Amino acid sequence: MIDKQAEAQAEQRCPWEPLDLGFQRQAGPPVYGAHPFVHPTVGKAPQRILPIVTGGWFVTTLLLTLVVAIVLVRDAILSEQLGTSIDLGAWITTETIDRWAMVLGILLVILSVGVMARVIHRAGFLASWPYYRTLGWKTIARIFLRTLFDDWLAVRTLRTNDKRRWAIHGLILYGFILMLASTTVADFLNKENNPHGFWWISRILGNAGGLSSMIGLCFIAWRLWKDDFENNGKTWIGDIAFVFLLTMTIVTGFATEFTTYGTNIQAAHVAFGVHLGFIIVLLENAPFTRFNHVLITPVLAFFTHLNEALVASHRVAAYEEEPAPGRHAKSERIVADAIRHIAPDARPPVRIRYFP
Amino acid sequence: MKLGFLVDLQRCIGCDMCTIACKQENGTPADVFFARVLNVEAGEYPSVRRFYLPVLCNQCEDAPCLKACPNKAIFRREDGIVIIDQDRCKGAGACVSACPYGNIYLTSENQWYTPDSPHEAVAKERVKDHVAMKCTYCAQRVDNGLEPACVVACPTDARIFGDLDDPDSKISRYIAEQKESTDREPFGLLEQLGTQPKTRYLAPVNKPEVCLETEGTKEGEY
Repeated sequence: MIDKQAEAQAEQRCPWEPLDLGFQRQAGPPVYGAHPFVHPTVGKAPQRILPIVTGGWFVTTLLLTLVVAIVLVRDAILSEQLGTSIDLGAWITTETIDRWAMVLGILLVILSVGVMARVIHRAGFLASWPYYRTLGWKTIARIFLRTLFDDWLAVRTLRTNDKRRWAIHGLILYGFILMLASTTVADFLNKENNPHGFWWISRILGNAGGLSSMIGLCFIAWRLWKDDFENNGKTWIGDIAFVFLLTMTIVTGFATEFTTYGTNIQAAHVAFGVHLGFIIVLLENAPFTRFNHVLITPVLAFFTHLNEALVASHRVAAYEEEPAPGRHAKSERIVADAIRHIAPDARPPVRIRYFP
Repeated sequence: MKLGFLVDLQRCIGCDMCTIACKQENGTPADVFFARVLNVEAGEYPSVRRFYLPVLCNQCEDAPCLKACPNKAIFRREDGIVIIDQDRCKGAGACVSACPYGNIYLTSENQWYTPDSPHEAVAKERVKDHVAMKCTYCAQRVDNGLEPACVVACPTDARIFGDLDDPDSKISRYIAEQKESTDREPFGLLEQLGTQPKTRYLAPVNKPEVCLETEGTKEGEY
């Protein structure tokens, strides 16, 4: 009886009618999406507590800074002859900071190169390079510049897919660039450690950048706290550390500004010392915290663009023939590794045959 | 629980049924193959050896893609399966290059084989443009107590799936049996990179020296 019913249904069914496999009919996001699944990962405790601690610390320091600012900044904005450089110069000169910055910069470069070398090695860049080269230097340079400006500076994927997130990211990114510009401008324009008031270009850049980043970090801290899916189980501590260190760097920077305006030089010295300390910790830990996405993401995106260009260029037959174009070099790499296990005595050449 | 995958290369005949079953199950667009089979030739006539290397996501313990994603769209489930959240992915493309195995797919605009067919109409609803995707060990099937589509489809039972932490699971028993009977140990691809892949392989039983040209072999004799 059941068989007859099934047969009757089968006869009625259009040959193209999709079978009801159950999971396809589930309401909600796509089946690959995270939401239908039990989320990972490394226990809930750090996920719940760390953002609260960080957020609490963040809000407290922010409030303290604002209080100091309101009390001390009122008279200072109108002053023309108060400046961090001249006041703090007695304790640590710009030249001394420059020298230390150079030493720390070299250390940062060494650490970053170490981390990047691992990422690039895993990504199989050396295996892909002989193919990339066929694109020619001109094309590679063009892709590099596109990655630099479009992906790195303009954050294209966020800009096109999620404007809100792009704006928040932009507040931090461009704020950080303004802060960097502030330091650089001060270094070039104020070699004599002259005093400058609130409206000096370097100060304007630094304060605007700090404020911008601070607002962006507020959103990020909130998201880390509220969004369970921010914890991917692998980079959580690094994410928190980045937000915390950058926040504290900015907060102590503002504290330095406001205490200086108030002519409380002793407090300014302490604030400036702590500020420098946070800068050092932030930068030297950059390769190991979320800060590293500044380098890793654009570099990996650059490789992805090179692969896309290689497939589009039709210069390498294998890249065009493989069923899933753009991964021939990686396929060769894993085949070479597999042969080591399967047939260590196999003689070259080794070829991958792609069939339609 | 640590879900793992074993491919017995002795059994694989390179029929690509896994590829087809995967496409049918996951409704992937053109140029996207979660389960690929690489046809490999080593050597030159008359000393040629051919083998098939089925490739799929390794669900690495230390997944480079997961660390590389700037949007936190990639995460690991408690059973070890690494998932790309289609809602969170913004198509930055970092994971595509970060994966040492080339098992993550990102196309600017999805192409379809038969765009008007109901099958692909269903698939289109689930797959967004310019969003990274990859093999999930058919997580949607696993959650319903089923094996991945490629495992079910494999005509030679070359693919074995199960919990690596459970000594009584199918995969654990198979590994133990093969260790005893053929002295084969499973290996992972590019293990030296430290990604700890959970897709493992068993090398063919017939040793290479049997198949490869040996000293004194004349042309045409094999």
